[in-house]
Amino acid sequence: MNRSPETLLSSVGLGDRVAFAELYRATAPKLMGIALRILMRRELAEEALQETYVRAWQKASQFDPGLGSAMAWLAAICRNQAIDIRRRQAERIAGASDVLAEDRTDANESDGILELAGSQGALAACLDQLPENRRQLVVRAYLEGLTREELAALYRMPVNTVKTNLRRSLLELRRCLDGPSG
Amino acid sequence: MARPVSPEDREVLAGEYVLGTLDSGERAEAERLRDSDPDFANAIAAWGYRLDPLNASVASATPPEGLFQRIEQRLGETAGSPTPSSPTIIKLERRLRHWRAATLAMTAHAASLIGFILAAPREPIAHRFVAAVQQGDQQPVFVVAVDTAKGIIAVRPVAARAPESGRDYELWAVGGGRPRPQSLGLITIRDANLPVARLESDKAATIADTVFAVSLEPRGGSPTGQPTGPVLWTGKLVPVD
Repeated sequence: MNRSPETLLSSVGLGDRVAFAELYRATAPKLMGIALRILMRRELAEEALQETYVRAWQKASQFDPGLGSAMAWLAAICRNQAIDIRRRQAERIAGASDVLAEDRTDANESDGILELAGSQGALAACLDQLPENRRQLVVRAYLEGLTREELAALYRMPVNTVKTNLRRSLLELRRCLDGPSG
Repeated sequence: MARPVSPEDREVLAGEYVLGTLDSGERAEAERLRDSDPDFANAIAAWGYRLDPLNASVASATPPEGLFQRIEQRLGETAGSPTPSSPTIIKLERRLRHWRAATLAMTAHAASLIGFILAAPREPIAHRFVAAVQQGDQQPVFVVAVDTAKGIIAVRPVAARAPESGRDYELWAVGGGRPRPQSLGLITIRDANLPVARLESDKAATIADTVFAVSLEPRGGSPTGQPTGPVLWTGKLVPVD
């Protein structure tokens, strides 16, 4: 019997460990991919995943299927953990974040564009309405967990410009996705 | 960093928190705000769902061998409780597993009880469900009947004994979109087919995902609004028409 991640997560909220194991099997590969994309090192991604599922176990009863999918709920926890770990890493090695950002320039520039072309739905349509450079900023920040400073180094623009661009992009995205009243 | 003042500032802070572009200090500030302000917490959750479609482009990767075992070990260390406030819910776990096996092969005995409880209504009814509330695959103790058309939840005692002196049985609805167990009130073993609660209309759609649980509580019911005593019996709804 194949149960949806939503059903599984609701059962996990009741303390069901069998459902928890099933949920892990169904969702861990995707979350591993998400964490790896941000952290780039398997041992760090593993740390993020471990933290993610411990939290998912503790907070599963708060999951509301009316707001979104179980996968999105888990992905939000996972990204948060990965971003926290990435920030700690960057602080541990002073200046490492700049190096990381430089490394990324060649490796990921092209697939960032591919991803945009491949994504579908309302978010993709709204991202399409942003100017190219601002769209890149949002997508790469999200997928790679980059700070404003890292984005500034990557796109060779002042940090304040990154900040302004992110602000405008977020407000335009929200307007586009939620409608003018939102 | 200055505390965000305008609604737009707050919206951008929530959005940047989810994007991951804040530095450590700003992240900590956003988390403080999230923990103290439910509206801001909702704004963060909303951005999480808005931007989630971007994850569709990320390729899956094989998690490390043995990671799940390490996670389970961590859960053992944290006392195994899914929610700190409701340690009794863990006891539902085993019964829920029992239930799964039991429901599929529901006994003729339970089926006859269902006929009994639903004999009364005459007019055609859109959605009726019953749950045999029991321990494991033992004989049902209560039968819960739900009529989503009328919005009524009724309970019939079947083989229940009176609770020990100074205690009451309390009925709970768990899951089906409820963030926490919801009390449906106290149940007695004397009143047959007693409608115990109204079903909120917004819960009718997810009623099939609801688990009913009976816990033993101090006289008058749980003092906390959440199950405090042992969960004695559970049951899940099955449709009858």
